[in-house]
Amino acid sequence: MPVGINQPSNQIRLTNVSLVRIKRGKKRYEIACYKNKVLEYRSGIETDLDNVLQIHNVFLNVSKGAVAPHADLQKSFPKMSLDEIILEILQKGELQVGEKERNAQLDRVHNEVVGIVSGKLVDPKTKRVYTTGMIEKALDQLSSQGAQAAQHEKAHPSNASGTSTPTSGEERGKPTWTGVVTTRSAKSQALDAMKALIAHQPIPVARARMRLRITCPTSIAKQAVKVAPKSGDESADGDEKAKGTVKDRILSYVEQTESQEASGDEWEVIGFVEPGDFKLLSDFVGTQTKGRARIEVLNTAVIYEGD
Amino acid sequence: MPVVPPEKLVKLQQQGEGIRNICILAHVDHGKTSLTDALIATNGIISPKLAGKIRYLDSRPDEQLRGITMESSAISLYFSLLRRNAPEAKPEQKEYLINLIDSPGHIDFSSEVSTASRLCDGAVVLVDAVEGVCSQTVTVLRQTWVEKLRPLLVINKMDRLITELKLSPSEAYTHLSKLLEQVNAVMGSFALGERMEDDLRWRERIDEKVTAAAAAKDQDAGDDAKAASKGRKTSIAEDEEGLDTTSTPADYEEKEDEDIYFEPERNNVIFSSAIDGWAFTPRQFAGLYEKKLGIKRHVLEKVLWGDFYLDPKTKRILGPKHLKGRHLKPMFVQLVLEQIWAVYEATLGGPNQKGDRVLLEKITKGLNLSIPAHIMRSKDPKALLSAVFSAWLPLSTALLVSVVEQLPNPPSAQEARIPALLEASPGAEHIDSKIKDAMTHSNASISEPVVAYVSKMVSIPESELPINKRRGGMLSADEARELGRKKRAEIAKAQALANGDADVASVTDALSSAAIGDEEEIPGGKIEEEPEQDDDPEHLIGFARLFSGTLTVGDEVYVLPPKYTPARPHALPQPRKVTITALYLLMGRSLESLNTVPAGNIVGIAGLEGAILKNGTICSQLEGAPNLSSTTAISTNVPIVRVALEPAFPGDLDKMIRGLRLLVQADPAVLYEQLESGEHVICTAGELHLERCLKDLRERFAKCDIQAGEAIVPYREGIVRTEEMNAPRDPALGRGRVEGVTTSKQVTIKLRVIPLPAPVTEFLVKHTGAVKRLYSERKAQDEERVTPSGGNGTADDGLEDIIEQDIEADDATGEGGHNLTMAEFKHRLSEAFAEDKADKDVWNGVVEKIAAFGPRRVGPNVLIDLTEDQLCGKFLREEHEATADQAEPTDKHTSTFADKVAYAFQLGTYQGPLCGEPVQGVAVFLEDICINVPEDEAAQNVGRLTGEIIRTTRDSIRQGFLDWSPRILLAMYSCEIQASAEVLGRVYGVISRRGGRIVSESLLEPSTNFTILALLPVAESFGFSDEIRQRTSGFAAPQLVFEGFEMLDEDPYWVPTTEEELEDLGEKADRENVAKRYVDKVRLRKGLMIDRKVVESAEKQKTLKR
Repeated sequence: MPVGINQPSNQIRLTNVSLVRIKRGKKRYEIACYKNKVLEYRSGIETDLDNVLQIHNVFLNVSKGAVAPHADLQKSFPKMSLDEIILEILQKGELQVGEKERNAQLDRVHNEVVGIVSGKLVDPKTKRVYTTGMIEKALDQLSSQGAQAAQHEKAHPSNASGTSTPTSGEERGKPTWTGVVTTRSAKSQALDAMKALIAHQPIPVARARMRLRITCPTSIAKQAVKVAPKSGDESADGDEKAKGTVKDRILSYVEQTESQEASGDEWEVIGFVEPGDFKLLSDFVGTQTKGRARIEVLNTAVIYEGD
Repeated sequence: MPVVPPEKLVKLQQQGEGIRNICILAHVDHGKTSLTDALIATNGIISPKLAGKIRYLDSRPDEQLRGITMESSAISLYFSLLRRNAPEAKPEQKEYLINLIDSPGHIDFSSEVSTASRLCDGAVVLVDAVEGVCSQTVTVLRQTWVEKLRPLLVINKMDRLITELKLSPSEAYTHLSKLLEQVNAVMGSFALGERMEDDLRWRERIDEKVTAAAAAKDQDAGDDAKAASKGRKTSIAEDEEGLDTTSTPADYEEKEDEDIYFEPERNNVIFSSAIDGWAFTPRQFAGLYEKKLGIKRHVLEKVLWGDFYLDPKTKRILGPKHLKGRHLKPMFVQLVLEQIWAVYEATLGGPNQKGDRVLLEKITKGLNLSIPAHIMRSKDPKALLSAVFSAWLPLSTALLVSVVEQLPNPPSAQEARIPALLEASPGAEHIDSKIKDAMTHSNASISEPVVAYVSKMVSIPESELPINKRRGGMLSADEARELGRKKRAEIAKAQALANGDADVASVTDALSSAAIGDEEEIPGGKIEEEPEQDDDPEHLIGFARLFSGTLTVGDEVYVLPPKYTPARPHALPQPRKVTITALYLLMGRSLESLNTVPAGNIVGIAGLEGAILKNGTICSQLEGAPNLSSTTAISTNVPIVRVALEPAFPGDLDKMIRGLRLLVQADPAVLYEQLESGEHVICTAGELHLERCLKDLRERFAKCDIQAGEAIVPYREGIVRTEEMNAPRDPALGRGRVEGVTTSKQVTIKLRVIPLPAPVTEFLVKHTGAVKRLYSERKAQDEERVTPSGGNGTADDGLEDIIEQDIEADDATGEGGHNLTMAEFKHRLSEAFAEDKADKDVWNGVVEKIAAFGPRRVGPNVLIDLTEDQLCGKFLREEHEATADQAEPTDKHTSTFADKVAYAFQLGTYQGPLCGEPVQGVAVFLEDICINVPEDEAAQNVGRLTGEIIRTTRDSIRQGFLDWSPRILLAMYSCEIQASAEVLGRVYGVISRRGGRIVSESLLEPSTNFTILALLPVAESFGFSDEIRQRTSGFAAPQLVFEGFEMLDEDPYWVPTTEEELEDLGEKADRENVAKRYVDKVRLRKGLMIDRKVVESAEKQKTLKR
């Protein structure tokens, strides 16, 4: 068969290939890698380059077999050898994530999210945590519910726009859960999941409370709340708040007080605080008392500890 | 057989001598339930034709399906016996009530056996004629021995010798005598064990006495040795009667051990075939041959079994000595077995397996049996066989006669058993003598105190209770008339409703509803029936044996929990007083209501729900009541199969928990606990038992789908100092020292992580309770300081009291861990530190500087404060110091941050760097906190800095941790296995394959069994018991108890680095890193990063599109 004639029989097709591309100086360069390997290489698990690269060369177009001309490469990657260019592309280029890698990543994020959630949610009655399995099932239930609701809306678009709009609006107001994604951090997804679980209550759950000890000099505790110096533009709002004393404000954050006592010039309260309020509380204490009051975290998540 | 009305049984309950409480025990599949069937058939409850096949007492559907018994169940039977007191006297009819308990044979349900045997006075032990003594046979024999039940041996499945093994009668005889020897050897070993114990005790006593007179000692020792050797000889030669053990010269008194053995001549051995419905004792045959041979019956009884021969000419009985070389068959073969073989030959044998008519005619004639003509004509040889046998040697007669004759009635049995039972119960000396007396004599009069032992709670669906159902056959005439009237009214109503055109269906409907409904007016019986089916609430009924007094419905009795002791009757928890709401006669799957029950009976008691958890004692008075339930040996096997349960739908969680609570009450062998991790874990005795529990949960108790899975296994993380570690991260600082700077660069934290010396860690792990108490004490002190009161002592006392109660409450951890005072604790802790010789200077005076323990303030890690002005405050300070260090308003901000550091220390030790499991054995030295910015700026940023400091400190601790050689600690079970010598090797195999380690092995003295003590990782224990039972065919019984954490001495991050290692192991380290496998498993579960390749070899991936 004459060489050079492009016929189906003498084409060499690359299989099992995953491309990593980079754009440099208006040119697009590609390298041919194995599937499911590039991310591993980037995270440093795979160290053997031969296990990542299919062909030790840089292409303009892998599927057509167009190797990048040396001149172009020199222009785009000045003073770099071919090996260095390949490494550069491997590290910085955009890539297709392989199916298995994606699945592994998703699994990992999912497990992490479930782990975080199960550590922070408790049964409000017994203050016991749920197992990861239970949380997983509850989240599954939520996501399938969400999918159903979406389908329902699609099926009856007219209905949704019609009389039932307010109810569906309410529904939409509730945070929903549709499963994990790999693009966001596990922690923020876990927060979403928690919100969704608390809103829908497929199982009775509540955030585990933080247990804090707040100590404050009595003199300050009795003071009226000062308007925050910075928030001059919010003065109207500030004035309203200024009616209570510092003590009252602190107590308003505390959901349930365990003990509260004033001895000498120190006022102390131990109580449970919803974790979402903690930041507000500590900001408030920090600004109002100029650091003379202290918040001590006794426990970040109060859960039942059997012994 | 006519149906025996329950009234008759109730009447019989009043006569103590006519009662026999027996249980049927055997290895699995040796025919307990079939045998029971034959007995039930005599009372007309089931047809005799079906006996042996229907398995009446296996009332659960899965029992029927699998063909094994899972729950013990009781039935009361009536038996009447014609007895002649003198040979020529008129036969006198005596009536007996037999309370029979059928028990399961599978090892998973052996707790049922122990509960059943406690209720009974006698036991019928079955042995398969072919299989002989099996593992459970030994167990049940031991049970009867321990419970002092009088046993009766039944050699069952004799037909298999004929039809399966095709033995000749003489071969069968040798086989049977060997089997009997085996059983007796087992009994002998128990007797020997006890004897040796007695001997030892006696010797100790003697030793005490003789310490003064040393000269006499030698003499005694010699005697003892002689006694012991004599004793052994007796047990070996158990079948020979010649040896007289009582004549030993020693002072030690030998116990009579003849009556423990099974000997056919003593009529405690029965030969039977439950499936074919026959059984006999030698005595029966003696009666048959009495006239024929002209030999006295009692003589025949003695010689029918054993090496005795019948001289064919002189018709005289010869011993083996007088045989003179003649070839004679033993009498048992000639007179007994050959006859039975002949019947089998006549019915099942013959040329074409259809039997031999002529021979059969001859036999029936010879035995003077009349077989109904239609059976004689029948084509089914089996039917013929059972017809012949039921006419000739009916099973029930042989068995029940022996039961009645051989086994004791409640009064006499209690007389024998109760004193020992009471002696063994806690606080025996405080038991009221009146109760003691009443129990020993089984006094049934109403004035006597009531004592009953509830062995287990049985869960019965409401529809099964007799209030809700009534059988037609059991109605009295009045009730029948009443019912008839109602029925007519019902029909009339139905007709009226249907306007006269009532079809047949509605009439039958009305009939059935009237039949089911009780005396109360039920206008819509049918309507009520339906919802009842839907949700049938379960009722718990106590399965009890009444030892004294008479129990009547409406009586108020005290329920004594298992921890009760008569020494302190009012101790917490206070025994509850309950009212008996109903009493039931247990008739297998059905119950009959009773009004009163006298002593000596087995009875179902309602109204104990909630008062008794699993077992307990019922007594009519509180002071001086005995506690029968705490006596040991009740639960012979600790549950060992642990699984975590989860409802399939998360919303069903409550249902499941409720179901689990019910299950725990209904099944004594189940343990249920809710773990810290939120898991619901149940422990069951075996895989089969687990399956039954799950089925029960799904269908009866919880009524929701439940999934079982492996429970989460806890790990610990630790560090060690080893020879070859990677170079420290920062050589300038030294190993384990980290300088953490917060992201805003405002605060720098210097700390150092060092592994704690092993004795210190051990000490801390052991005394977690003490640390906890010190912590709470300190908190109390702090509070006291705040409240201006001087009364230190009172509060402390109160605390002390609480702790004391704690100790009483959980004696599991109560090994002195709680009651250490502060000074003592400090002293011992510093001693533990002093044991470490290597770096004395590091640990010098460290105890004084301990700021906190962690994680959770009680764990085995310490935070040591080395900062100049002791920022964190001392944890182990004395009271007088406390006042001193109160005044420290010095550097408010740094001390604020010190709090955060302490908190970060708790966090860091709670989730280690390896796989987020708690850390153990680590000391963190806080060396310095410096603030790099002006004071007031820092003060403004407190809010933001808090988070930063916590994060930085935590990360620094982790970093320092990884600077050492990290280790993972595995949770371990200590595993005690009793195994016979043959299966020892297999046991070892299973343990080593699962990464276990043998700690010790010892021979269990009198028996040939070994006790193996091993440590097994919890992570590998899933399915362990099942595997070990399978591999050893049930001859090894493991018991698992949580032991603690043990370090796996392998760095999970180790990879071959040196040339030698690379050469040996290759780049990938061919050998699997076990520690890494565990770590990765946990990390995978928690969703942490794992450096595992998704695809191992890139070029070998599948390239085709799916």
